[in-house]
Amino acid sequence: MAQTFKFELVSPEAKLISEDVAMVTVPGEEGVFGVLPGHSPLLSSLQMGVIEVRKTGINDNNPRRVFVAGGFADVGAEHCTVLAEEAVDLANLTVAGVDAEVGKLEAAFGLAEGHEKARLAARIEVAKAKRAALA
Amino acid sequence: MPSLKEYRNRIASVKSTRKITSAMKMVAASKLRRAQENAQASQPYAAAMAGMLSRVASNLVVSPNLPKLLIGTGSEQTHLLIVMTADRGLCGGFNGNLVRFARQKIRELTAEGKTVKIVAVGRKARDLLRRDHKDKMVHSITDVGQKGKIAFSNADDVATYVLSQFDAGAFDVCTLVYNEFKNVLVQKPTAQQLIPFRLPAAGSNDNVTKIPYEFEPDEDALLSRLLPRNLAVQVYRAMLDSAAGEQAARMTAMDNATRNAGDMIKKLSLQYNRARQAFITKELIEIISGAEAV
Repeated sequence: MAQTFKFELVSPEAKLISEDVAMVTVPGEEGVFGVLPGHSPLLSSLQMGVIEVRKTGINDNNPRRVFVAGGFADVGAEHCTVLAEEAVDLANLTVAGVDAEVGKLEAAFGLAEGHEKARLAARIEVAKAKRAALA
Repeated sequence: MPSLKEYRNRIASVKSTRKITSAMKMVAASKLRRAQENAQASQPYAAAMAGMLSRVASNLVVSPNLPKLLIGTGSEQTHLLIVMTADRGLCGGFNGNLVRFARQKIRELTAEGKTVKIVAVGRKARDLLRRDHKDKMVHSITDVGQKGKIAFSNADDVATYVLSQFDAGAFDVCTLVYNEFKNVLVQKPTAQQLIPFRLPAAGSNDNVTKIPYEFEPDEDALLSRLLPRNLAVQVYRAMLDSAAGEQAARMTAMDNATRNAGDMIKKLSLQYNRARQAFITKELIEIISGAEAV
């Protein structure tokens, strides 16, 4: 049994994941980093990307993959807390579904104006990143 | 004296009012439970955010290069008030108290010679403040969480607007005025300063060993990302508090209304019965005196 630490993924609306895991990789602002038990304390902001959660050990070939649209990570020796703005389990997404979302957003983007336009642009970027993560 | 029929109609109407208020009370009670659950669910994020901020703050060197969101613009001339109420009424003094509190605040600030701008969140704040502070109202947002649940994106909208105004230099100090949810019976109008943000006292609730943290990117850059996020978190928290308070206030108000309706029904029935008996007695007297005359 590999050593584990507490991994928590929280969004503003709820605590999404809280479990003991062996390793996670996190898309930090200055590059993806892995966290193992006993990591030195670190605060990092995140970029859009995929968090990989390995439960059984670093050789777990079937990690749980969660897409996050940015956020922050607080890492310590025995915990790793990720504050995510938007988080989706990639297992719940399909290529076709995300493609449809991108199409819908782009159609709305064509019609939107001003403030709304900037917001839709950001959402399209997130959706496209999701698409890239699935590929 | 009203006729028997009038009494009957009034009793029936008060009865149906009681039915409505007691149904509204039930609805408010179940919504309150949901609102409290939501407020609880947002706790971990807010706590983690506060923890991060205090950690960054404890490593921070005071310098004029810090983000303006933290140290302010150096002036205090223009104040932005975010006034947060419910969209609907029928919840006792919930909206009225808050708006009165906000007006007081506006009066104080204007008396000091400051410029005040208002962002109204919630239909009641917009309507009530528009009456006497129309010129100060710069933006209003309504229909927050109309589909049952307040989403973080609602708070994010407010925060985005406030930040864009701040970056444009439209105000110096931002204060959020909302009803703090103390308990089901007490909601307290509260003013909380958001910009410049007062950092939680470093390490006050943090008795974990003081291991030096690494920051990625450096403290200043991290802080400039955390602070805008924190603004949205604070607004979100206030929205949830306010929503729970609204339902609690409505529950109490409707409970009172139901009880009042009950009292009124009792009083009206008494009068009705008295009038009915008087009527019967009168008829009997007429019959008897008619029989005697024969």
